[in-house]
Amino acid sequence: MMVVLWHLMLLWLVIGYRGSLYQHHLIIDMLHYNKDIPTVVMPLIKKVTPTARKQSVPATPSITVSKETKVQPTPVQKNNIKAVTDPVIAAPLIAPKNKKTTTKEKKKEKAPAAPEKADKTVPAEKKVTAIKTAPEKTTVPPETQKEIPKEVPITSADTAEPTDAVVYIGRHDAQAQQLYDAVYEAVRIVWAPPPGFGSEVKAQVEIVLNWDGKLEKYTLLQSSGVPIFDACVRRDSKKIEFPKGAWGKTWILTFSNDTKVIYE
Amino acid sequence: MNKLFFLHLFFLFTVSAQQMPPVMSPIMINAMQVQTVDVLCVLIAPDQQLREVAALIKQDLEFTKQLSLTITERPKVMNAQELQKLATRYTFILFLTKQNEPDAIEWRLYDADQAAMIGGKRALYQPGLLQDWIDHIADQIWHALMGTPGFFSTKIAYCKQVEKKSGRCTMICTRNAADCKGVTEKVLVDNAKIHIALRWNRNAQHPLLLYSECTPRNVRMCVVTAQGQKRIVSNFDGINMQASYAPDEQYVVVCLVRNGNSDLYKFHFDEQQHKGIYEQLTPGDGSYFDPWWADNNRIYFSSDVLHDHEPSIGYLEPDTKKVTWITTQGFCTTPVYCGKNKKLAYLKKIDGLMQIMLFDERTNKHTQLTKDNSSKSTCSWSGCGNYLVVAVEDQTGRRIALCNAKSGQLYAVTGDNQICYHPAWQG
Repeated sequence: MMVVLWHLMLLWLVIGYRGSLYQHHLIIDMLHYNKDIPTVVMPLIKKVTPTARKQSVPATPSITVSKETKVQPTPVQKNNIKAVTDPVIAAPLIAPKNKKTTTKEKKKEKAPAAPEKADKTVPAEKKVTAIKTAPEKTTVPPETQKEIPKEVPITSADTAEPTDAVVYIGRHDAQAQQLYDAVYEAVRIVWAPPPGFGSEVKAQVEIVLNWDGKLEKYTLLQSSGVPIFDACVRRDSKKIEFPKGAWGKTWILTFSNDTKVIYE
Repeated sequence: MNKLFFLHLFFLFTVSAQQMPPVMSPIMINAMQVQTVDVLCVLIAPDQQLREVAALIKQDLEFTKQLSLTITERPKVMNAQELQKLATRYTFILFLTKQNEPDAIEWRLYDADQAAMIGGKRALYQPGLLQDWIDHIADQIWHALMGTPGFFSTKIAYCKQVEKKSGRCTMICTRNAADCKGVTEKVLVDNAKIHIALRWNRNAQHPLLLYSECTPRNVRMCVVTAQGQKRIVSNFDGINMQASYAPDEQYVVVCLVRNGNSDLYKFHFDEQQHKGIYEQLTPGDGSYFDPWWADNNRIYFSSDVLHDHEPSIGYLEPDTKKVTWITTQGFCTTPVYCGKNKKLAYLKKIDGLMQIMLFDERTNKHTQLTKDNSSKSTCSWSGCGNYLVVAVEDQTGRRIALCNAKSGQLYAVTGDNQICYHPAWQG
């Protein structure tokens, strides 16, 4: 019995296991880094496929809470997406409470995350996991607030407009987004190019961090064509203090000189 | 057995996780702040002349406020370890050594972090003005640092207003582009007349400066060589001004104003008939002025045909005479085209001030380059396409300044105690 278990474990480690229990491997893409677009995090889903993201159709239904009405789960309708016009801050990650939900998700992940299929398989009330933080201006009456469960999204339905601008992201996407923001901020603090260069001057570098967060390898992938600019990129790359989540990874950074763009 | 199993399990667990391929995460970072690049200039066994040379090179390289030079002296060249120790403070190390036979300065530029030489040359002493020689060396160092040719030794021409006994008049002067102190200033024309509209020809080996001179009878067009030899080239009644050479230098477009009507003419010298021939390019339905024959064989101009008293920018094909408009709204004048970056610079009145605008042919986009509180009156591209020379007018007076074509930053060339205008950069 022990030997069989041993072999099964070995088989799983070699073939099935990709290190996901040890550390989440986050693929950060630039598809969604527009802070003007409202973001909805769905903690029970690891990732939302790019096709679903492009279509801007929620894989799970969302609940709309207005100032006047109480919590009412909206029926799942394909083209009835009520998006928030105000920018919604990425909601804090809420881990799933029970393991059963996670296993269900894994099953779901194997199938393409097309919204139609997802809607059919899971009942609407259970899938309500999208979290939207309400805009500051929106005031929800205290009575309504009491009745709202913790994991229910709060949106201002009065200002809602039918638009496809909402982006739904999964749990891992949210983690990736947070890491992306942290790395971006760490680099941005340090990066100080020489004055007098236009926004078209760009250099792309590959930075390999070891597990202590130290710079292991630095490669200039794409030179800016300006030696002084490339030297400044290298100088500042060595000063970056990457967040812990970024350690042990390879990062590709594109340094631009567009000082006009200021992120808040 | 169980212990071994779990030990093995833990080992495989850890190894499997650590051997996962790292994730490539492309991130675009825009700059929040800018910082001048620190360069350490090390003089090896210097004498007084080398110290003087280093001071002048520092003055040149710091002109654009992109570099900050610190000068120090050492008996010998540093080794790689010493260079890398300095990398925390300086990005580049510049070594200057004087050689007596032949009389020359040798410079070597090192990347401090990598302790690698990125450029170096021996500059033989050029008899004449010391500043010209220094500007030549600064051009070489600039090229090694920036990857583009330096502009320190290139010439700009401008009109300088002076008061004489006979009254107010203008001199035509030239100086090196980054010469703030006017050490290299040379007077080309000084004849107690008013001069306007300076334009260089395209031949760098035999530079000619075309300008218009106000006389009691007309405004005639003259040409002057770098040695100061002067000649009248166009002397019609009215105003003869703003000549611009075609790319092949066989034709010249000029603006002639007769009977209050301003038109553009194409001029060429017919060798068979031994006389100059003028061909009218514009239909005569309005005022056409500021012609600029660009490298792309288009003649850019300003004209008030579209709106009275509000000129617009357009261009015409010299062969077909077909006119295409680039701007249709706003007060826009003085188009100048740069073949290097394929951008058209012009002046546009914004909030009562003339500001420099850039039009990118490739993207068809107009961008406002300068946004300061001074008004610009004339502009001209540098040969490298990275800078413009402009006449800036504000409360302190009229002066010549260089403008960074990417950031819009202005660097004053002439002092505020002088009245200078109509600059032209030798291409």
